Amino acid sequence: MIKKHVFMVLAVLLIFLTGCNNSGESENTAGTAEPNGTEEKSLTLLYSFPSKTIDPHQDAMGVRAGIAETLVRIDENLQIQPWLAESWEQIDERTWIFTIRDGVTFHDGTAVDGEAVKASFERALEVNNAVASSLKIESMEANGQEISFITTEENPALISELVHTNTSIVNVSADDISEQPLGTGPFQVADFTSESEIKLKKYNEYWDGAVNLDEVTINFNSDGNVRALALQTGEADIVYHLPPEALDPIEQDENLLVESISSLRVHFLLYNNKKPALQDVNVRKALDMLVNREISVTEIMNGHGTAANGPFHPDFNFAGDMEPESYDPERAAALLKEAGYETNENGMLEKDGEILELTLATYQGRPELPLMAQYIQGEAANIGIDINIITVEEIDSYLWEQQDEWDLATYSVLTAPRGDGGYFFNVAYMPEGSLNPGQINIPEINEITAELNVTANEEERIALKNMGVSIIREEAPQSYILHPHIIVGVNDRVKNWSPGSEEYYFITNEMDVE
Amino acid sequence: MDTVLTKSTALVRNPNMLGGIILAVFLAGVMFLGGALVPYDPFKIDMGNRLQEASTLHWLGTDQLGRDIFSRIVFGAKLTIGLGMLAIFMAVCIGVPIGLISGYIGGRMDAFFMRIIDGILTFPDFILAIAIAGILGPSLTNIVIAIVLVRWIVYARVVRGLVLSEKEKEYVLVSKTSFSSPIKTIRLHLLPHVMPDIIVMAAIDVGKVILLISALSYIGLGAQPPIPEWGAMLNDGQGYFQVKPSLMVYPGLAIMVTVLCCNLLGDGLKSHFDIRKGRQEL
Repeated sequence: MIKKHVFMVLAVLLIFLTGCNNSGESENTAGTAEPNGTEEKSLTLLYSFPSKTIDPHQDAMGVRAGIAETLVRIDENLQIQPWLAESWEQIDERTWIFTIRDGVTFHDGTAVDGEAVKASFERALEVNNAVASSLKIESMEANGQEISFITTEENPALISELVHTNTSIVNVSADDISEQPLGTGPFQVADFTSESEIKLKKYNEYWDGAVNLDEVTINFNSDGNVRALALQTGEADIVYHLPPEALDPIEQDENLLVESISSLRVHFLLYNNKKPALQDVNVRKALDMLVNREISVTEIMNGHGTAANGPFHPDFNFAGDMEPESYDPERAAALLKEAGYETNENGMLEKDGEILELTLATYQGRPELPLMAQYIQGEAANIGIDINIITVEEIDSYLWEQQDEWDLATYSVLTAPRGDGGYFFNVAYMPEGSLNPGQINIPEINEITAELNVTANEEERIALKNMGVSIIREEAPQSYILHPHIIVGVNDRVKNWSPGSEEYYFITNEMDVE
Repeated sequence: MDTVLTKSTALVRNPNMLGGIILAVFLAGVMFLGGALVPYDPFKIDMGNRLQEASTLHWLGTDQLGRDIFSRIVFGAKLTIGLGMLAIFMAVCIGVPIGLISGYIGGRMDAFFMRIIDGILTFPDFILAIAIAGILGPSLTNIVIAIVLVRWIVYARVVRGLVLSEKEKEYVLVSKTSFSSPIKTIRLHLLPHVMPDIIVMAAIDVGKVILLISALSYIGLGAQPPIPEWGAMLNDGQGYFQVKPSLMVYPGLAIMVTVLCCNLLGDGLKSHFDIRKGRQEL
């Protein structure tokens, strides 16, 4: 019995020791990972959130993995560029015509023409409600290499919505689109194991130049430490979403590179508008002031982030020009007093005999979120708010299915994925929005969103969005904490590749290995 | 006086017992005096002071939120050991009566309980505890419930076995023939007979249960932040195990020392009570 435990301890210690040594050994393993003699070039990418399916109409991995492509894409400056469509034209308020590039073929060799694109869109609209509601397509017509879209109403965001990975073009006659989609990208699916692995092989007839790699493997692991170690041992060449606290040994390794790029994502707190306590704007604002954004960036993110003044990255011209809310526990306490909360004999805040007790849901998928949750819990405890943290496995289903249980939740979302904030206003603030489990419903914001959806003029759009952002600041329907950097670890044998802030295009034909 | 002395020296001479007692004294000292020695609040977050190395101010350093690790371990000791003992106590309270009744009365009652126990025994206890805690939702109360539900069967089974072999003996027959009620017979004659075995088992089991609580907390089913349960501390620290392994080493050591202490005490008590019956380890 005792011996058993002694062995267990020894085993744990051994694991520690080997863990510590890896940083030193990785030079060798990275070198030997390359096969000698054969010409096969392969690369492994490790990603954090597992894909259940690679149906490009339902999962972003279809485009990320270089299997499928969209009509238009965004470049590194978040400008829209032609991709499968070589040009497009807006005929009138509701009609758009796109011309598809010649010489593009699906992985089974069939040519991509207007009809094929139309069929692909028909399927996307059918299987993905979010795509249907953002594109607002009434009818489509194919004519040779041309396809025309007629929208149900004026939809100036159509072009930027077509960047969305779920609007990518696939061959609808494929047998099993969820596991073996036939796209137009540089790589075709060799094998797919749900939530575990995608094996890709080069597609020789790719339309946009030679494909350098022969094989690509994409693996999933939701444990940040495992991902960091996989990079250090050379098991993976590109690793997404490294935990900020695990960077030291990687930065010290000269064969490994850490790329930290500002993202279009925001980490924030959701407030559940169904809960009476949180319907009071003073309570929400008090909680907002308890968030120390500066410390969150420097300590929790180790500097790999930017403090948030609203949902959008401050670099955008529609992000508003306010400073981030400053950390001020005294004003927070004053606001709570205004809201009717008094400190009771135990030092807890109380209103009408009920203490202010809140449940904060968090999840491990992004390792910094539980840490922020604990930090906020500590700050709240200082002024007498009792926050219970609950760590859940599937945050999205929890937030929607157990709406009566949570008061606050840590969350993270891409707010301007296509360089336009209109999408976020629609999904996060409209009462029927797909990212609105807290049931936020602010009439002023709803009006702005409705107007935004029919406004084409870029300057007017910016003004509307700025207005929306300032209302968000006044009402504090959520607390925006920071814009995390995307931290990607890259082995230096990977060439011609760097991560983009849009997180849409991982695998390209140009990327190569030594 | 003399007999007490020889008895206690005999106890101490047993190396297992001696080691166990030393560790137990050490643990009790840390548990009850530690809080007085180190003036930190185990929940106090101090972001300007995070991931500090061990120093005279912070004996074991600070964690990722700037909390003093020693204070957290001391607080966690009361929690982890207390909950372990509570879980065992509840398991004994459920398991022993069922074992006594089942063994003494026999027949259908016995068959009923034994089939339930056989059913539960087909699952490994850790997996079953995960399943129960998973269904109930993550919290410390729920893992104690889960652990009680999987551990009572062990006591029921052992007690039943002991009762089966005891109940044909003369003293029980005498009690029966003098018209004692079954409850009286069980309480006055059978219970005292099985008690030493139960104490030894429980002592060893506390160690096992502490491991179980920590394991469940480690995988996120038990203590929720910021509770400094040792398993939860291991979970918190694992993000830093390359940068600052001590975040995991100290709670790990605490668990190891405690479990070792329980096992030594259990073994010591076993030889003290001279239990040689081929009791099956479950």
